[in-house]
Amino acid sequence: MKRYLRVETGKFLKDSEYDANFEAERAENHAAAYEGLLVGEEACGLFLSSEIFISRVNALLKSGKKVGVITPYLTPEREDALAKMLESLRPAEIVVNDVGALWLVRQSKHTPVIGRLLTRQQTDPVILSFYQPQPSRVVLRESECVRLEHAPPPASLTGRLTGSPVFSAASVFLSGYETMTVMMDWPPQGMMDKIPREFSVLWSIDEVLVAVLPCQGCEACPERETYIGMTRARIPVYRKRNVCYFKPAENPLITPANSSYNAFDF
Amino acid sequence: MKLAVPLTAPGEAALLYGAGATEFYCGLQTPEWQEAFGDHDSISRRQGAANLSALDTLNTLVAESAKLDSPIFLTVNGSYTREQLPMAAKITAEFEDMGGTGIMVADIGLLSLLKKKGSKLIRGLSLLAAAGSSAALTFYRALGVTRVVFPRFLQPGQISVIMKAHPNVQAECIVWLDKCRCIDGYCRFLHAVGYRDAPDNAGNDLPTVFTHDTTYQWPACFELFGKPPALPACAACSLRALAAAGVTVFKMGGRGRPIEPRLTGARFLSLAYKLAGVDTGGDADYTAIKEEYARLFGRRCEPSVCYYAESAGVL
Repeated sequence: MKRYLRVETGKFLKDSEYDANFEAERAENHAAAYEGLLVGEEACGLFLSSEIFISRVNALLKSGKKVGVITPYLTPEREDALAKMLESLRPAEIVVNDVGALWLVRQSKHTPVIGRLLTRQQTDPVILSFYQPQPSRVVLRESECVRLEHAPPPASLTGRLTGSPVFSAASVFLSGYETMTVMMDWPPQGMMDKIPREFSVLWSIDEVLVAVLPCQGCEACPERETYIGMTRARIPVYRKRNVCYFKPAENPLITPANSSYNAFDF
Repeated sequence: MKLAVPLTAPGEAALLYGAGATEFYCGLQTPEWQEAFGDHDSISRRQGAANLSALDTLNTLVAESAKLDSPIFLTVNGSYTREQLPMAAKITAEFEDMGGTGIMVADIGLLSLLKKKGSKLIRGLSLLAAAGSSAALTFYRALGVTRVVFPRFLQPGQISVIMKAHPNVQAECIVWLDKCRCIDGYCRFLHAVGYRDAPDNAGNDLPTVFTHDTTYQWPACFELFGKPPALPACAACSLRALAAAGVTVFKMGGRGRPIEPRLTGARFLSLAYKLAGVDTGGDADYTAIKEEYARLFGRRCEPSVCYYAESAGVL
């Protein structure tokens, strides 16, 4: 089993003693010794052209540490910045969240990992309700013309929850590579027995991504975790930069302890 | 003006054509698909009335479009599991046999399969593919894509950069309805499912239940971000900027909505296109466009319903 520590981009960029701190943190957490680091962002491109970012990643790679660089979905501006960053980095795992990024990585010395924005997982917090007791039928007032069906979960949704589209796509994405790795969100929501054996999965267990907001500029974009609201499934949803997510550990029904995950990178 | 408009039933094509539509698109969810995978939005990110339910009906729409000499596209823009892929490919092949023009697609596996089978259908990249860069289009072109609906987060200036690198790709933009707060291609909310307070005539505390509805009234994203305004989302004031960026097909959302709002939208956009002077290069009358919008929909437009607020009225 492999454990990766995902590092705050802000901390990674601002802390000039990052490497030493990383070692200290790793020593503190000896029970969960991290084998590698994940740095970067799915929905922000500012770090792509940061010389500090590139030099720190290169320093970590040079010292023998395993580093995965998460890259964002692309716009024309980010595309140029990513191409330059790929040229400057030592060979690394690049977590791609855009097929354009994948295209660029395939032309480079790096190894692609399919990122969470490409997995098309269904992670709506309502899915958590499917694991909780629900009334079997609801009758609406006549004035509200909405068809209701049964819970949990609506039989019509089961097809949605028993697989991830990423694997058919990833076979095309990653053809020719020895290792086919996909970064996915925990919980797997019924997909555990649907993961093809030829794939290695890098689970994101600290946050489950539910949506990405369009970039409105840095002034409108919280760098720190910001509470957005509570769904009626009683799951709080947060936003950091332009990524909206919830924290799976808050629902005991879906913690890793209840599932088998030993076969996969974690 | 090339205006792509959704169809949901036979008989609509001629009416919409008369209102300014020049091409059509529709969805299909067969009983076979429903039996295997449920009647939610897995085949085309829409469910209920947004999809035809029978191949015969699809055949009728293809014939009606052919009479109008208008292209028709089938929307198969879901992302498919390995189990779903063969049936999605089968439906696509049947549409091709009917004489359909092309498909709107987002799934890499389906694109790869169609390429291997030598499909002659035009492959249009759906909005859900979120192709926001030149490199992404290069990737998709290698899989047979010749047309693209650009994601809504791109501004006309950014589209222009991409189109300069891909002048042979036909570019589309959504310019009417369905403006989402989030990026469509990365959204993981289940629109078919929401929450509501169950009515309780006895006056007890209302229990929260989740619902499966076909009208998208209570998805979790509405709870978190608020319901979108009642006004139609619109890019009428950006038609000229989009055309200058290389966009040649303007698309109306609203698959599954009644015919009247689609007719109104098609008429309005056709008028706005003229008022913006897209073809003539003359002065654009954005005030007249906004006034017509207010007249039709009872209120002036506002930034929250403007697709490309940064560029609206530019040029």
